[in-house]
Amino acid sequence: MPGISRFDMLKKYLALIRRGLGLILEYRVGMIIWMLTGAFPLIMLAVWLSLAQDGPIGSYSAGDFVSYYLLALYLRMMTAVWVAWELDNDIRHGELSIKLLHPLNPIHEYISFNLADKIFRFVLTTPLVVLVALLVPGVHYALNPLNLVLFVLATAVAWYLRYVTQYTVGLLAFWISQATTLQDIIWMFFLFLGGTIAPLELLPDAVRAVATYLPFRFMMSFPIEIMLGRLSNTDLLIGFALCAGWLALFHLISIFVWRRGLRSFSAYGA
Amino acid sequence: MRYFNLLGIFYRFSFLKELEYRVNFLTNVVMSFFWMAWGILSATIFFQHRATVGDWTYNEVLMVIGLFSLFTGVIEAFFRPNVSNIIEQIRDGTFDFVLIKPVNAQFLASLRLIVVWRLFDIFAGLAIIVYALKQLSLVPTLAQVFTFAAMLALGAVMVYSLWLVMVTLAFWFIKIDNLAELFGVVYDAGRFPISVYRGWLRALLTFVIPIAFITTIPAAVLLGRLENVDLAWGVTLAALLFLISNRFWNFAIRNYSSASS
Amino acid sequence: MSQISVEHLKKYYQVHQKEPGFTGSLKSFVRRKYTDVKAVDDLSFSIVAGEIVGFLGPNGAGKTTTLKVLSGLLYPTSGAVRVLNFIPQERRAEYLKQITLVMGQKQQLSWDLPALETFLVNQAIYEIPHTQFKSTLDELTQLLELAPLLKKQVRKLSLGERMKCELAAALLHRPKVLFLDEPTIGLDVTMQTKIRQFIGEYNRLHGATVILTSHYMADVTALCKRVIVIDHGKLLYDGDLAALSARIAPHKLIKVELSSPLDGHRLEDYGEVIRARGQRFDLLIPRAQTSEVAARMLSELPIADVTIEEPPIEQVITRVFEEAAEARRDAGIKDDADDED
Repeated sequence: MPGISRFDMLKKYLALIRRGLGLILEYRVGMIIWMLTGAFPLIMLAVWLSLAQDGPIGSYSAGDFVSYYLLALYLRMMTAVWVAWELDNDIRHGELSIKLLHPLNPIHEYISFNLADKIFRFVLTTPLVVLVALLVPGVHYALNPLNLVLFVLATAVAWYLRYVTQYTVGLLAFWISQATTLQDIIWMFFLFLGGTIAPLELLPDAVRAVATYLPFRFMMSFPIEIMLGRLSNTDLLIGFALCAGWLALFHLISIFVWRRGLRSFSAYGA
Repeated sequence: MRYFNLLGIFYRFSFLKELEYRVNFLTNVVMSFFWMAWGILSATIFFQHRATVGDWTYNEVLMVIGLFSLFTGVIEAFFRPNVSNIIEQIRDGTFDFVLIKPVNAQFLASLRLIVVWRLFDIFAGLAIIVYALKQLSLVPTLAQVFTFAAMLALGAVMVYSLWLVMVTLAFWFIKIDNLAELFGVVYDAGRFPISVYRGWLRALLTFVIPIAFITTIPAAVLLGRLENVDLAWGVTLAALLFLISNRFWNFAIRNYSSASS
Repeated sequence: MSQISVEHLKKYYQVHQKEPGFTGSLKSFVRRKYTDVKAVDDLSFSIVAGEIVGFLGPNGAGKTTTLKVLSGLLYPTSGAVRVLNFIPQERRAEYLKQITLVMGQKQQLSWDLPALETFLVNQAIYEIPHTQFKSTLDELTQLLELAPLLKKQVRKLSLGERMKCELAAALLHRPKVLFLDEPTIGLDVTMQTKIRQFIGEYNRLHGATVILTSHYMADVTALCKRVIVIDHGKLLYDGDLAALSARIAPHKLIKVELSSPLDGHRLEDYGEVIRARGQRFDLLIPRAQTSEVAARMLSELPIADVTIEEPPIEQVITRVFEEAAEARRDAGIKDDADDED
C-alpha cells in the first residue's frame, strides 16, 4: 500500500490482533469447541494403528503413525482457516460494504483475526503436543535446529496457502451463491491429497506421484515430512521451490479476483 | 395421533419453504453424492494395504459406509435444521413463540423442520447396503430385516437424544453455534466398524456416544454377526439416552424461564 | 371479578459484567462477576375482563418482563400471578389456547412463505376447528384488510403489512387475553392508527382483555382508559389516565387565537404564556380557575378562537418519571437503570 509505512501497518496489525484476542477470549468456549472439531485426523490414526498391529505398513510403523498424526493434528489446528465463509457471509449480507469504508483493505481485518486465533491455539495446544510427544512411547522426530526452522517456515507456508486459496474461493461469492460449496469440494481433495486420510507415501503410486507436486501437499503433509526426517536435501529444495511457486501463483490470482470482484460489487452496488 | 398430524403439517410447511431455494436442491444432492464417493474411496486406501479392517472385509465395511450415509441423511434432514433453528430462536428471542404454543415445546422445537433434499442420503445409503449384500451374496432373513429396522429406529432415537442434549446446551452458551459440529467429529468415527477402535475409545463409542449402534451394529445384524446382548443393551441405552435428554431439556426450559428477563 | 391478578410480583435475574478491553476480557475469562438486576420489584395490580390497560414506563422499566411473566414465559422470583384462574408459568395447554403475545420487534411468521401458510400451522397447533378457523380468518381479513397480503411471501411485505399479518396469526385462536408488546413500533402514523383502531374494534367485538405497552402515547390515549405506570420495576401509578393528568399537571392549556392585536391588555395577566406565534398564544392556567379565566378572556379580548386542553400526555408521563427519580434520589438510592429488552 503506497503512502503507508511498514511501521504504520504493523501498528494497525497489532491493534487488530489485540481486538481479535479480546473477541476470542470473549467467545472462548465456542473457539475451543471449534478447535476440537479439528480432531478428525485422530480417527484416521486409530484406523491405521489397528492395521499396523500386524507389522509396519509401507515404511510406517505404529510409532511413525502416532508421530505423523500428532503433527497432522497440530498442523490442522495451526493452519485452520474459515475466511471463505466469512467472505461469503459478508458479501451476501452487505457487511463487506461497511468494511470497505475503513481505510484499510478488508483482507487485513480477516487475516489479523485469524492470526489472533493462531496465537490462542498456539498457547493452548503447543504444550499439549510437546507433552504427548514426550510421554507416548514410539514418538520420534528428526529434531535439529535446521529442521525446526524449516518446519516453522513450511507451516507458515501451509497456513498462507490455505488462507489465500480459501480467500480466493470466498471472493467468488461476488458472482455465485454457492462459493462455500466449492470450498467443501476443495476440502475433499485436500483431505485426500494433503495427507489427512493417509500419509502420501501410502496412497496408490500413481496418485502419490501427482500429489507430490500439487498444492494440497504443502498445506499439510510437507511440514510433517520435514519433522519425520523423511526428506533428502534435494526433496527439501524442490519442496520449498514448489512452495514459492504455488504461493506466488495463488497470491497473484487472489489479487486479480479481488480487483475484478470489487469492480462488479460496486457495479451492482450491494 | 394428533402429533403425527402436526408432523405432517410441519413437514408440508418446510417442504414449501425448501422449494423457495431451488439451487439448494442441486447442491445438496451433488454434495451428498460427492461425500459418499469420498467415503468409499478413502476406505479403499486402507484395503490397499490389508485384506480386512478391524476384521471386516471390504464389502462388509461398505455396509458400514452405507449406514453412515443413511444416518447422515437422518441427521441432516431431520435434526440439524431444527438445531440451527432453535439456536437462532434462542438468540433473537423468538423462542418465546415456541414456548407460548399449546403444544409440547420439545416436540415443536426439535421436529418442526425438515430438509427434504437430504433424504437422498438415506436412499443412497440403502443402495450401498443392498449393493454390498449382493457382493457378499447374502440374502437376509425376514427376522434379520426386522431386527435391522428395529436397530435403525433405536439408532435414530439415540442420535436424536444426543442432538437434543447439544441443542439444550445452547440455552446456556448462546454464542456456540458450532456445538453441533462437535458431534460431527465423533460421528465420523462411525465410518469404520467399531472393532477398529481399542480400549477406552471403543467403550466410549459403544456406551456413551453410541456410534456403534448407529453403523456397526445394524450392519452386524444383516451380516449375522449380532449377539443378543447387543439388542438388549441397545434398547436400554436408547431409552436411557432419551430419558436423560428429555430431563435435561425440561431443566433448561425451567432455567430459561427463571434466569432470563 | 378480576381476570388478571398480580400480587407482589418480583422478578430478579443475574447478569455477568465485563470490564472493557483486553484485560477486562482476560479477567472475565478467569472469573465472572455477576450482579442482580431487579427487573420487576414488588408489583401488584389486577385487571377485569374486557379492560384495555396501557402499560407505561421507560426502557428497562420492567414492562416486557411483566408481560412475559403473565404469558407464562418467565417464572416469577416471588409473588403470585393468576390469569384466567391459571398460574401462567405452568404453561397448561388450556391456558395457552386462551392467550396471545404479540411482540412488535419479533416475528413468528416465516420469512420465506406467505402468511397463510403460518396461519395453517397455527390452526393445527391450536386445534382450531375448520369452520371456526374460516370465520375467524374472514373476520380478521376484513378488519385488517388482509386479502391482498395473505398469499404474498412475508419478506415481500412492508413492515406495516407484516405487523397486520402478525396480529392475525396471533389472534386466529380467538384468545381472551391479549398481551401486546409495542405492537406499533416502527410503523408510520397511518399504519399506527389502523392497528390501534383494529385493537379497539377487536376488544369491542370479543370483549377481550388487552394489556398494551407502547412508546407512542397516542396508542395509549386512544385505547386505554386505565394506565399502569412502572419504573425500575416498581408501580408508580395505576388508574384513570385523565386523573393522572389532573394529579401530575396542576394546569390546563388554553390556546387562543386573536382576531386583532391587543390594546392595553396583557396576556400575562391571565396566565403563564408558554408559546407565542403571531396571533396565537398558548397559556398555562391553574386547573381550578380554567373556566373562569377563559370566560374573562372571552369577554375582555378580541378572540377569534379558543380551546382548552389537557397538557400533552408525554409531558405528564415525563413528569411522573422525574418525580420518581427525585424521590429515589432523596431516598439515597443509586440510579441503576439497566436496559432490558
